[in-house]
Amino acid sequence: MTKKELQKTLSAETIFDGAIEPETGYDTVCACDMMSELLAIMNRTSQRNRGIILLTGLANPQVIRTSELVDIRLIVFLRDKKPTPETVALARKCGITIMSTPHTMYKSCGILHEMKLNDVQLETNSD
Amino acid sequence: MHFEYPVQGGNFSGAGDASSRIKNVLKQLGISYDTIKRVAIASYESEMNIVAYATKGKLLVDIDPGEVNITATDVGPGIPDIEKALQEGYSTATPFIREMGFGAGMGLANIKKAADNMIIESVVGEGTTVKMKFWLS
Repeated sequence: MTKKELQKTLSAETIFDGAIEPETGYDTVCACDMMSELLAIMNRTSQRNRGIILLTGLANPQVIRTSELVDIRLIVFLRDKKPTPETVALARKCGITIMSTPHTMYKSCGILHEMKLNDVQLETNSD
Repeated sequence: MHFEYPVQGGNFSGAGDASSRIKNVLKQLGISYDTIKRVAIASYESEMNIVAYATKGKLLVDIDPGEVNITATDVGPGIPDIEKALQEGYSTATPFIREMGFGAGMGLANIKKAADNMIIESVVGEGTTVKMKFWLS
């Protein structure tokens, strides 16, 4: 899926368009509000994260920083949340695209699941 | 190769800067994607711990043939019960830290899973040092 297709699918507004489209498009979704949970998920996958879309209800700078550190390049804020200027500035610095959709997390996940996007492929937990 | 990055306690707007710089250094050195990701996760969680709980601290990075070592050391309250702090879900985070998306009691557990080896030393009332080792495959 391209950014343009995602924007249309989720009736989203693009707040900042920063990232170059991955060659294979966006094919995976991670829905998460806790940044430590996002880090835990990313530590359990060997997927290249540039094809991952992050859906989150958090719209603070830590979401951008966390995404940058694990190579996520596209974030969609839920329920029409708009990031602060500080958050947008950090997205610009990190080259991360940010969008805002009116949909809830459940509905957004449902729509993208219908569009055949995948969950993050977790590797077996060795704990 | 040795680098040091200061981290200011309570400076949430700058939290992650040091880890981002460490990640860029490792990328420039051509270190593998998987190792960079694991170092970034562990480094960032430890940096957030300094920002959230300590007065000040720093991240020390040592890159040697075959291994990367990160040491996160701080001046702060220390950890009274390290075993308890390592349990997933145990947290002393404030509501503000939780609003940032952290403080779910996963930080030290995430560091332990991301690193090949982790050692925590802490003195209550003085501070904490977390040593993390990553083997380069």
